[in-house]
Amino acid sequence: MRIPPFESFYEQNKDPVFAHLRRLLGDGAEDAFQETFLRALRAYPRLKDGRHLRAWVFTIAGRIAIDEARKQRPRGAMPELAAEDGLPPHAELGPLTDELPPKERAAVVLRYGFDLPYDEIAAALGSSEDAARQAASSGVRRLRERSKQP
Amino acid sequence: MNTVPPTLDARFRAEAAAEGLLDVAYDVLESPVGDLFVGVSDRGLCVISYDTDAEDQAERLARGFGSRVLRSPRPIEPTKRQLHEYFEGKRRRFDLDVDLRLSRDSAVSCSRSSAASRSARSRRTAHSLPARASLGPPVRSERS
Repeated sequence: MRIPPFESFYEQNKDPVFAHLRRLLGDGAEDAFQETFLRALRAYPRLKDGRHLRAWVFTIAGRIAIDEARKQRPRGAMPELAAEDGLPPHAELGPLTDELPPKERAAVVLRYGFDLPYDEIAAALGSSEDAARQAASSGVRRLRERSKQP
Repeated sequence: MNTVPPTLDARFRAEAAAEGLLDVAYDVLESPVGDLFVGVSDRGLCVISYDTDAEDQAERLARGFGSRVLRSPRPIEPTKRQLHEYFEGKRRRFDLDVDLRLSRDSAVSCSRSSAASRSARSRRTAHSLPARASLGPPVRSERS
């Protein structure tokens, strides 16, 4: 599918992306919003297909939100879940999934942190829907196993 | 609350242009002869048209210059200022860089006078593209 002019892409996605970032980051959303669309703009000429642009930009926003959340909570700090009711799911998942293989980690975070459907996750990962489902479930299995270890 | 605040929207559009990430920046300007769609590439003015259907124009510009077409007022400022001076009668010639890559099938009508070309050559010897162009008089002054 043809790539639309950036203006159309931006107009169609700016409000959903902003709402999403607000849920994840609260007041930090504005900088993350600008960074998301600048990053999208830099990568835009390399896009080959205009079909999954929403999933694509949500993935970019997700990565930026994870980076932001990391900055707010230094790596290695113990997650104090009880005290962090207000934290968005992805921010909890970010540190917890640190050691998963990249694809499984992305699938787990997109599915359970961002609540994306599998077809959009598949688009974001550049794989089939089955592969996305499998990556998410083996990621979760791996997390379970790890949590059983002392 | 969950829609992009206008200030943030404007900030992104300005930053996109400032970082040189746009193939074409455009805006729609008000003028005494009606609204004008004005587009600027990294080489200069590439479209000025009475057809202000931004979606159509953006599609066409994306085909001609690249997909990164965005409404962004700042790069249009020099054109806007000169048009304003022109319509106030304070300017007769335009002093703008122009990008003629699409001019054959676009609404840009640029006549390059020999004087303009000479001044372009003498002032900007390093540039191979015409650096100056005269735009024809607007419809209204033609009639008057």
